[in-house]
Amino acid sequence: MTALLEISHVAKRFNGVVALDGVSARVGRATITAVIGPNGSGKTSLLNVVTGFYEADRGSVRFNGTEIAGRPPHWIARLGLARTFQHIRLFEGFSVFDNVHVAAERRGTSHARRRAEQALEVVGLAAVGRQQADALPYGHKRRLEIARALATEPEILILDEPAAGMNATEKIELGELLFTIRDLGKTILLVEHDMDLVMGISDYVIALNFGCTLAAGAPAAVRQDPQVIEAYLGRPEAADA
Amino acid sequence: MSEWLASYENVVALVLLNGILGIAAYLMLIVNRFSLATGGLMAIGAYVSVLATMNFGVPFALTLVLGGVTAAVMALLLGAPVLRIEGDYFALATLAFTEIVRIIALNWESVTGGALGIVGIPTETQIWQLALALAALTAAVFAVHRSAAGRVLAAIRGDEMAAAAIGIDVARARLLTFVASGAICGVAGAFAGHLNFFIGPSDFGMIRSIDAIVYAVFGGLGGVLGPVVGALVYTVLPEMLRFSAQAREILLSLVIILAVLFMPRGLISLNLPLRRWLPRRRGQRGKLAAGQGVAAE
Repeated sequence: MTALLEISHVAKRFNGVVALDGVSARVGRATITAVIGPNGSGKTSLLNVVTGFYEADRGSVRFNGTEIAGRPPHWIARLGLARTFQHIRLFEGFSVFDNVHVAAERRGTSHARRRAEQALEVVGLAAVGRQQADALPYGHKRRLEIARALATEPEILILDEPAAGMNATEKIELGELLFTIRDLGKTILLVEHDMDLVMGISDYVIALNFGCTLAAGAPAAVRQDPQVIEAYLGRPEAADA
Repeated sequence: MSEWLASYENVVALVLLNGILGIAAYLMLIVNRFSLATGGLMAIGAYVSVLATMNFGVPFALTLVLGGVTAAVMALLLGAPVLRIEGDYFALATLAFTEIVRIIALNWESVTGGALGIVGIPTETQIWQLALALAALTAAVFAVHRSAAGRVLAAIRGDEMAAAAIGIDVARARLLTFVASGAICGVAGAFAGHLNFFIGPSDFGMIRSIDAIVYAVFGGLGGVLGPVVGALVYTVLPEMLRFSAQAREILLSLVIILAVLFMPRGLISLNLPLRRWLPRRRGQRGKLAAGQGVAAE
């Protein structure tokens, strides 16, 4: 497997609090890779370092062989890494279509409208393009964020808890959407809490705890890993005490 | 008509000039930055153009360009380091800038005439020129709003992090906006410098910067007509309140406080026929919060 994204020994502290303590990971081309871990384990920090929103204290992030650690977010986005946010960030006051159109225009203004429409079709929002984005139901807002990211024509799509706040049906639909996107040849890296979704869709899982990599591998193997089980459920002795 | 124009010529000129300044302030507000540099940049445009007229006999049209370009370069030099820092510090830095320009104008007597200012300036500025400049500027900003560049600015206003995440260089877009805003202030300063026979340091102080923000916020940030309408009302209103010199400031301030309380989206949010000329996106309450602070002062 050739790695599209290679994260090596990335560390990040906030005023002495260790968010990432030398995390390394590889994301293969056209795969779905999930980052899991308990709250505060460093998942979102990792995404923020990869996408340039945080600057790592040390370590390297290589995308297609290019070092991107320490580069600004817009530069990284232009290179082909698009992301969504844990708390939905749509452009206030924009219509559904305009949200995606302004993103499509980052790859040139010619045919931007058509590319925006295509992105909306992929996520199934083509019919509501004229609506105000603020008025969309929650699950659709999450899809719109994905469409906006897709419109920048990324090689890798980075999703921060895409299923957060979704109901069971919406989660299943989200899983199908992610398969569709992967089958378009895109690589997906996501942080997710919902274990059923992660285990169902991922090709590869990375488990973090206290800013360190606990385990990495196929979903079934990670799920059986004693350290991962311990991180989620606690030590048996600790439970007895 | 011509009699009316003659007696109110100065007010009409001020309305048009303030409209231009209001647009300069509006441009910074829509990229979520609170610039108090308007007065300082305007002073630079005024002094440069007036000195070019007085000392070198440069034609008026060329002094307008000179004033605009010099202020734009100053905006670039000020904005490049300062726009990267957080919003509140940007406001402070621009406040300091306007103060520094005023103090230099006050003390550099051999060039600026110090506190006495420069007198005997040929009054080249005509009402029609100001009207043309304001119309052209309004049309230009309107065109920008409808372009890809305008969508970039709107995206930055909508959500900065999301804008960066789709590949928008937020800092660069802001810097370019500040340079454009600076050029507008400089041209406005050049017009103002040639409007009467005199300019002095106190003509371009902090109050100019704050007034310009008031025009934009009072009029509304939902479209380029907002600052123009704001400048019209906020310039004419003091004239109408002349009957009571003492209460004038209080009444004006009351109007502003009532306006931000009951019309948080500005005058253009009133259901006027003007409204269909505005871009689809209208100002949002939350985004005006910074402006309301000063407007309420």
